[in-house]
Amino acid sequence: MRYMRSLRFTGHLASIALIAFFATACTTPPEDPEALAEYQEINDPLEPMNRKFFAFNRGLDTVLFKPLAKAYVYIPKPARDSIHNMINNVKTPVNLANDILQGELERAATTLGRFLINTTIGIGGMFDVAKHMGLERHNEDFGQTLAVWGSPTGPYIVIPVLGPSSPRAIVGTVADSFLDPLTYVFENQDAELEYMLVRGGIEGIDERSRVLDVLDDIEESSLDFYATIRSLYRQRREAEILNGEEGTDVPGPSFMTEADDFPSPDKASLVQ
Amino acid sequence: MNMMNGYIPRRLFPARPFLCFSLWAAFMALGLVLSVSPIRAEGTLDGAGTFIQDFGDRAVNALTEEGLATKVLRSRFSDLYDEGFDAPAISRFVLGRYWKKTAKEERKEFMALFNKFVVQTYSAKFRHYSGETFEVTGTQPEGSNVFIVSSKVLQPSGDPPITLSWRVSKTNGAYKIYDITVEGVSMAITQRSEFSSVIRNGGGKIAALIDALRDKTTKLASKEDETANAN
Repeated sequence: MRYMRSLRFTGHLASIALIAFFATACTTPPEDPEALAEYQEINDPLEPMNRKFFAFNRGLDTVLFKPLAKAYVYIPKPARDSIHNMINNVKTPVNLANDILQGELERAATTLGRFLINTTIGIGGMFDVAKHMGLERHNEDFGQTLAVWGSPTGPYIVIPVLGPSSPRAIVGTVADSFLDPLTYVFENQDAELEYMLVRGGIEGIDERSRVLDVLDDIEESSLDFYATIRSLYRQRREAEILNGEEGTDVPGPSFMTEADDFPSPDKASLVQ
Repeated sequence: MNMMNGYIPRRLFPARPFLCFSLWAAFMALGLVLSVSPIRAEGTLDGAGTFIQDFGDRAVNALTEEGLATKVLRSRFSDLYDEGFDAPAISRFVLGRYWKKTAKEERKEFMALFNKFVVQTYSAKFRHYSGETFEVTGTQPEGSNVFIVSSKVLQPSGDPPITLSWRVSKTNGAYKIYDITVEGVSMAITQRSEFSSVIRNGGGKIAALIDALRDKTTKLASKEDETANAN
């Protein structure tokens, strides 16, 4: 069996995506140069298909993930924190591999130190003891490694069930499963698919439960929820790749110098 | 005085001592005025950092008061937004390439609605306040007279602190905020991206965005009393 089952699983996913891709027309690039620049910046040629999957995912979230996450927060916070810490600890070997592949040796040392401390003193990763010793957690995956190596992100893709992604992130996720030693452990038990699903499920519910208020807020204040999530996902990924290092550019509007004649908005109409 | 005679033609300035002195005095006075004039004074790293720490502290104090009615919260937020943010520049940025194509009347309508939208949506975020503390951690220049102030929001739950960066500039003697970046996500860029999507899907018309904003703000305004009672 070896890797065949998980490969078949990914194969199924890929064929579903391909069928959907051909069933929905791609958007055509505009001719106007300004509009074209905008089109390239948004980099979402599959928008019609992506919107359908986004709507599907939202439906799934409403009936399944959100209620599960809401139920999950009834578990006392210390217990949830322990689960969260254990997930992070399980991810550490992949983190370490990517730290090294990116040539970030100092960060690699931090990751290794965290793994050794939290697995032993932190009782199998239940407690993040290393954090209190000044070893802060960071997140690296092979998608980020590819970015550091100069690979472009590619068009925006919404994956059914899993959500926002990109070709680079998809390749990264597959590569990460090969970098994960636990994949091989469970493979010997012929249970790698179960491992993937259980781990993915717990991780998903944990993550969803942490953004219950945030996502509700964003949805309520959005005119186009799809476009907002697309922008947030892209910017967040970009920030993760830059590792939030000091001195890196903070994204934002360039300073505007033209002094146009601004009409001043009617102050009284602001608060009604 | 003799030196001056050598440089300035006698025809224009007769070398009478009194005239020379008045000229000198006038120059000195002008120099003094220019050096203290707020229009000329540019911001400093420390100045920008202090402004954000002070503004942030005041905002947290004013907006996280226990049992604050939504109406009062929005009114206080609106005052702070007017005072600390460059609302016209932000409005223009979020319209992006469509700003140029928008007629004056429409711009005015958009700006009024956008400001209302900002007040309604961002003030609501202070509803989730649970004892977070805010501190400025550093400042870096970005071009002349533009500063990026970094800050951290420390969470009492023990979760990792949230990084906020403020893009600040000093114009007409006062510091103004142009954008806030939360964990690497720029609020202005996110807003521009969303608005341009609404315009594009509305056939490239600004009217589509204005309509959507009007619907949204009306809907959010009606929530005012609900939330106030619930709290």
